[in-house]
Amino acid sequence: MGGYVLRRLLQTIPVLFGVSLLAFAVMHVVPGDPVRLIAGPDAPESVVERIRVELGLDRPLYQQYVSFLSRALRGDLGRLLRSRAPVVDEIIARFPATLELTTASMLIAVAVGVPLGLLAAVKHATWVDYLAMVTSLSTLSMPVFWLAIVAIWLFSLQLGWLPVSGRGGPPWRWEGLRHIVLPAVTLATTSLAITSRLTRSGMLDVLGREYVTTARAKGLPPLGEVGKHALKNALIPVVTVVGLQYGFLLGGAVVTETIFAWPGVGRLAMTAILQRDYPVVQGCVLLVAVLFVLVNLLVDLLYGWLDPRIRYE
Amino acid sequence: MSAAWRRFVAHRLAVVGLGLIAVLILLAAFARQVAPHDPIRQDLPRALTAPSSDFPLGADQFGRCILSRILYGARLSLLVGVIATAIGAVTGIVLGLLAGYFSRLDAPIMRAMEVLLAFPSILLAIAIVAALGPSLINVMIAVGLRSIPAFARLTRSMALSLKELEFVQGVRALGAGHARVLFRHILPNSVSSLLVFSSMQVATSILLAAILSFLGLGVQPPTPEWGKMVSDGRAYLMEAPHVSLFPGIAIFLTVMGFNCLGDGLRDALDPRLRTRVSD
Repeated sequence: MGGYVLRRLLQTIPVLFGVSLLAFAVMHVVPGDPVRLIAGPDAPESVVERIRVELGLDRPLYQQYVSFLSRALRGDLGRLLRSRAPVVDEIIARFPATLELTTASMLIAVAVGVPLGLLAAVKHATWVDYLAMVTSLSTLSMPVFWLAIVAIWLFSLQLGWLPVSGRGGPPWRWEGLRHIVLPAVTLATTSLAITSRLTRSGMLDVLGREYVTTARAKGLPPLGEVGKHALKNALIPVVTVVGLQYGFLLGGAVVTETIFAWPGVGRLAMTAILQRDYPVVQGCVLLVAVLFVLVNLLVDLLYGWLDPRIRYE
Repeated sequence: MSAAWRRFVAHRLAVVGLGLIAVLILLAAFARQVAPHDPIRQDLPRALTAPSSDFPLGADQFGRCILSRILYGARLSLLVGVIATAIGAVTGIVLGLLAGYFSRLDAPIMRAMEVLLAFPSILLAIAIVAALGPSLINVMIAVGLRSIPAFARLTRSMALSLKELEFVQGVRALGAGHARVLFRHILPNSVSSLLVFSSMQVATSILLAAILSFLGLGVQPPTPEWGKMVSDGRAYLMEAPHVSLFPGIAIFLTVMGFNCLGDGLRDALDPRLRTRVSD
């Protein structure tokens, strides 16, 4: 087990290396000069050059990359191009908001999606099944930004139940809870649809297996002990997808955070891209990639718990 | 083929999907004849008017007919969806074939794909469009790039299993070159799975392109584009919710059509995919 974890960690190194290279490249090969952007269009050439040297942007690209990588490994992701605040501080300040939103939306997706998929599988080929599947397919086809706008229109502007945007403090306080409901539910919809579809197909697959048929033939009720074992096996693909979704969303739900003015990493990344703030974009991208790789590893380890036949060698 | 067609027709949702797409293509093709008004002509005194007999879906903030803009916008959405998917498919399929067939190329290509996968697709697309500048072509490239790893993985897995089969070994023994084996034997045998996957990717591509437009990174005004129309309507939610509502419904129906079609095609052409792609 220890050896497996170590080997998987080693495998992530080339991927992370590639990600850092791509993040570095994307923001450097683009047209437009970030130094000009900071200095302003009317700044004299001498000022532009001074800023360029200060930021190290005058050096050859490979030197910039090496220094970026070595600093990143020490936890230093540089400073914001304009305010000069450390990028790491900026990300850390916004991460709790993103963590909160992502966790809330994943809880909703699993709490609703798994029972819905389970119900559809148990009631296979009945109207309950069709309704559940048409609903999930519709949800998958809905543009999240439009759903967010319709939700704001209905629950905030028409009914006045929930605030339009922003974060109202920790979600265990009343104001915090009211603020998180709309963005969390909106963000949860896609994952919810995927979770219910996967649970349904996984359960249908497992319910057709011989050991389940045997157990049922022996008189065990379908939703009792059998259901418990079947569900545990059916959940393997669900765990994979929920895990990967969670990993992705932790890097910031760009669209949802932008629409609801949620002060998280996604909104930070979006603003940084539009302002060409290279260090912030690189920092956010690295954070996303590291989280993604770690979540992937955790998901792999969870398999062993769900299906003891899987051994790590 | 007839058995596949029977399986397809038996899938009710798939028929609905095919119908939706057929209607949409017809409306897009004959937008000039069907649309009641010019989609970019402004009529400020009628700005934000509610749906009426003259403006069946109402007017936007410049008094432009929303129905006409949706009909013309269909051309753009379908075009972006199909071309972006084609960009991803062609690149991904070639990479996947090479990775699956030549074992020496497998590791480098698939590691590169993993790097692309580790980027969140929306963030990557936004970064590319922001870097290259907002335009129709750049949206297609950004959206297409996102689907390359998925196409590469699917094609690779098929090339890996097909190259071991007897008929491929036989063709090789008869002296066929690598290119001939890859493009005349392995690729044609993967077409049905790739077709199923492509139809689902068109849906995802249309959604992603709409997101980019919504964020102001797509086609520039006054060209009618659904994502941009939803975004423009945000400022008038209180007094004229129809400005955002109807273009959103158009996106939803189109994406739903392709998703249903993909589900049906999968059941008809490639039942094996059921275990690989979510049901």
